[in-house]
Amino acid sequence: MKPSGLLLSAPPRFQPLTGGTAVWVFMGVEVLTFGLFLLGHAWGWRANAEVFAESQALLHPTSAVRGTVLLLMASGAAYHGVLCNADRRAGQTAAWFVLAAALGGLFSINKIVEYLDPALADVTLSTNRFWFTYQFLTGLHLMHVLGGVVLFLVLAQRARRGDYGPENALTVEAGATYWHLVDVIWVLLFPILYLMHP
Amino acid sequence: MTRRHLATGAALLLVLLTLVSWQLSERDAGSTALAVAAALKLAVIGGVFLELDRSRPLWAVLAGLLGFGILGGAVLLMGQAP
Repeated sequence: MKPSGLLLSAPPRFQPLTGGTAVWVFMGVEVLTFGLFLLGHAWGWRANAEVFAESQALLHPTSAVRGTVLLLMASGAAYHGVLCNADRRAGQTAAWFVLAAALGGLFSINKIVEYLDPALADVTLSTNRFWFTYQFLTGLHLMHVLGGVVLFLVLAQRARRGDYGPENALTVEAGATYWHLVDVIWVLLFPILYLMHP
Repeated sequence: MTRRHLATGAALLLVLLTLVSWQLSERDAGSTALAVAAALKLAVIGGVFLELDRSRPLWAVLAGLLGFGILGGAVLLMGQAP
């Protein structure tokens, strides 16, 4: 007897990860790499507490708060884009992704302005261990943000052209997932680098 | 409540938690309080934006272990500093 179509087409109890497993594995490795550097940074407070405290006092938490809000709002915009794509609203999907890209761009400008003070004070990667971790990790994160901005602009252009929709949502979801995980990295960087101390 | 409402609420909650972290830091709160605020943000991003609830629970457990492990580890290591 031929199996019933109902049984064959029954949805799985669990759906795959948002955006597909590959982007999760890639970003899991990224979060782990950033995390190990952050744990090394926390360990560094033991031997260099005075230097770390002096260096941390030169950072601008207000600027970091501004940047955090911009990134998180961009995540919200990206998720709205994913929802609009699922509802076949191509124009709105594109608009949300352009907004996410703009917020990411503002974050990048804010970050570059934040780098000016230490740069003018001749602080470099080799000044001390605190500045190495701070500049290396935030700089690497900024590159991820800039990549995300370009990605959102490409997604917006293709969404406007009608390339996506609920049947072809994987690319849109993968782009948004990439951004959320870049946000996750920042959510870890922000308190550990800017706010926490023994 | 639709996913759209949930997303807007989540974005506002994330901004609120960021401001709370900042104020905690201004009042010289301990690292544990700051890590808890960050852990809540990770939970909101994972639960709403990344829709971890729709995938196998193992993924949520792994993501939680990674994110909360980094925050908890940082608090423990900083706690040992002089």
